[in-house]
Amino acid sequence: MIYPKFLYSTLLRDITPTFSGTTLSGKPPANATDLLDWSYFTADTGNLDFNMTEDTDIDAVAIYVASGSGTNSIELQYESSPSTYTSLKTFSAPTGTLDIEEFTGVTVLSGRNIRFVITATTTIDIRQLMVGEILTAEQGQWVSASPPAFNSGVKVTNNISQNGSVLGRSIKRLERMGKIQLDWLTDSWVRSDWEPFSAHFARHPFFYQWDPTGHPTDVAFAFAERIDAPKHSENGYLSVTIPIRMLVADSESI
Amino acid sequence: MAYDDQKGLTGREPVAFVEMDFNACSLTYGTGDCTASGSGDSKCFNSYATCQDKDNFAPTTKTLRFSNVRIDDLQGDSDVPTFPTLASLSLSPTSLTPSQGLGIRSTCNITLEDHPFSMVGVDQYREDRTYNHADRGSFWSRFLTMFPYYTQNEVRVKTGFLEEDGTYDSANFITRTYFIDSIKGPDPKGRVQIKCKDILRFADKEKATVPVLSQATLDSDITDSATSFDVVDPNDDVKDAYDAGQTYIRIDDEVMEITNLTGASSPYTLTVTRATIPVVYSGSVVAEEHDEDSTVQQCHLFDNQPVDDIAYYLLNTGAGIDASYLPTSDWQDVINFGLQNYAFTSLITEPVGVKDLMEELSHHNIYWFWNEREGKVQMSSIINKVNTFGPFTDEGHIIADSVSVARDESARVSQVWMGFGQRTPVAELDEPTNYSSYYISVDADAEGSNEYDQRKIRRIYSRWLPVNKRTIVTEITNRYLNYYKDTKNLVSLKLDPKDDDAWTGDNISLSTRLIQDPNGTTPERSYLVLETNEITQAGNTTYQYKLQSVGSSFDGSGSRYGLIGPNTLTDYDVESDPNKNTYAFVAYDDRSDGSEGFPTTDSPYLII
Repeated sequence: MIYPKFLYSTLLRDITPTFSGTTLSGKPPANATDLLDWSYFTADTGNLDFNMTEDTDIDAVAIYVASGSGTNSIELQYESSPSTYTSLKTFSAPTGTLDIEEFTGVTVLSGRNIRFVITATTTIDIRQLMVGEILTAEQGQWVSASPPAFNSGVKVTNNISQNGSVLGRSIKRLERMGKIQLDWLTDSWVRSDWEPFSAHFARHPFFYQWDPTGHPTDVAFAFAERIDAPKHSENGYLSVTIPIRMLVADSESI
Repeated sequence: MAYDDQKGLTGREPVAFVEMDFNACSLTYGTGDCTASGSGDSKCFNSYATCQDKDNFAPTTKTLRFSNVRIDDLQGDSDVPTFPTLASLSLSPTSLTPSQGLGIRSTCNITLEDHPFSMVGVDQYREDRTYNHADRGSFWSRFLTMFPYYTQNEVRVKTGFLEEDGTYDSANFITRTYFIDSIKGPDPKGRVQIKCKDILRFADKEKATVPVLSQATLDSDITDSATSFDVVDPNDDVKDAYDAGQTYIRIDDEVMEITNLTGASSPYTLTVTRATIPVVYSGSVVAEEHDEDSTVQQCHLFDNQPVDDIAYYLLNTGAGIDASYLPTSDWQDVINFGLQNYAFTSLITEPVGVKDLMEELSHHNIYWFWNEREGKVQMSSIINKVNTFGPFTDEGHIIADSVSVARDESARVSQVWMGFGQRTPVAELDEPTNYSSYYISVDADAEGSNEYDQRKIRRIYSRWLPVNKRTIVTEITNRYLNYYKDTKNLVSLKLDPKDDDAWTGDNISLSTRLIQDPNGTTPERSYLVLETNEITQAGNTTYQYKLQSVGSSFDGSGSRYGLIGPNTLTDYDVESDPNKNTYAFVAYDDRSDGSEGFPTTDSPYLII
């Protein structure tokens, strides 16, 4: 049985960040937290700071970085005491990367910063950054779970001549579709953990790690296709199913 | 890698995106030349509609981009991100009707998905607002209120291929240019429909006329003999035309010629010759009394002007189409191939739609069309028939089961009548008695019982050719008859993108088993590309071509025209193809069987 994990949070999106490097007006820091994969923050070396307005617990970070070149790194820090930063996680050489990393939970106090220390040879294009508390499913998934990072389907069309020769061959990458299906969930878990998550994925995408143990780097930036209410399955237990579409790391996109 | 390399690869990945231009202000709110004052939510959106200092609005182009897959790096560092919201793209191509009018113009229908958006790149002051754009409404419903003046904005549709690793390279894309006609939506399903048309929409009569409608009026009643009178001309319509050398005016049904115009400002005093029209007209107009406030309409005289110059004036000055879209040197090449004497004369005495005037010109063996891939208004003629592409064959080019052949009986003619020598420029154009002369070209054989056994008449009334232009009229009618005297084949087929070089207006050679000669072989024949449609469905791209045989349905050669060549030309068998396509050769010494004449696969020339 595989217990999936989800990182969902609008924590960073709701804060206007400050960046010590160069800000491009069409690719500003806000693009890194707008929950869209197609707008990105083009960053050179600098510190990207998010100032907390209340005490905030965090234990995971996810990044989604476009393919690029050069030796780059993104390090998550938090302001453990005034003007003192403690490192939580470092992503070395992220290029075409989509990843979730957990760390020992910390509380970032109100008025202090969550900081991404960005080091770029030239620039790095960051699709998304997310920080928050990770959600682990109460039950595991069955065999119907869809590993996102496998090659997506590809539709191939051959243009054939009147006499049978192949004139040309076009491909179309198909979307990665799958579903999250959890059964035998307790009423209390659904109310306390699933409901806040479903309120998020009704509007926004989330990071999805389908098999944290066996395939920890197999992560998707997923969004729900449809929102159904949890259903009673048996003996007071509930089940939930959400069809999802998944985006994977650029380096694994075909 | 370039588009021409990518299109031939197997495993190519076709994608499309659209660029859409809007006018935005380059200034920053409340700084420099912008005198607006305010803060936060009251700031403008750098659009004219929301501008608070319209006198200092400094327009610059803001480009939005929409793609059918996520494509990184399309936009510049300060641009709006590329929205992967292109739901569908439908292109209706230009369709030619050679020498029978302007044909069908190209359109493009774009469907976009609406969505919430942070307005990065759109709202320069989004961080000053008290709200987050992404939490308020959707992109299109708000953008269209910020930028409501979009008609006539340029839209570029780009189709091409991603690199094998999924990255974008601009060299792999081709561009078609259109202009926004209308935007519908967003609808309840969150979709926005954008309809675009080609640049010739600016020539529609509701948008452009030559001459423009005058606002000038008579200052008082005038008798039928008054040769000097005052004209109230608030827009300087008459004065500007007179200053530009256009001396004819029309009041009611009387045309007069201004011999002098005085006055520093309206009202102006005109001295005129009453009831006069240019000498090329054999008829007359009558001097009449005219009432105060009667419109004084300036006329436009095209006086023995080359037809390409007339077209340029109509499209550039008349319709306001920028000169960059009008490749006059290419037009000159068309003129130089047998149209050197096409100098036309006409006095236009009332506002006529530019499109209507272009339609009229297009009945003189010439035609214009919007080449959306080149982004140019191109000119061609029915005697310009050099094969540039092909031969396309069943084996190597034509997609299976895509060929259909029809015989176009409707376009065939056996007689061409042209009425010319318009008697007066104020009478109706299609009134037969308004023309001094007619010329008729007849193919009597075609009307005989051994051939089609019927008459089919094409009537053309030309206001552009005075009675002394009979030689040109003869050329036009004979050439038209040569082109349309036999039933033509209309061929429809699909080609792979690797073979998409030929475009609308080009001539190609084609060989397909569906068109055979009496001996059962499949001859290579010449065809004119009437329309080209790029069709992308389910990730595959094909090109649908509609072709018209240059010759008849049973003999594809058609008339072969050539100029008298320079002395430097060599013998036909060793001369270059460009020269053989340009100059006429009288004979060929040996056509491989010991007889004089052209090879059986080549036609003799008509000298032009």
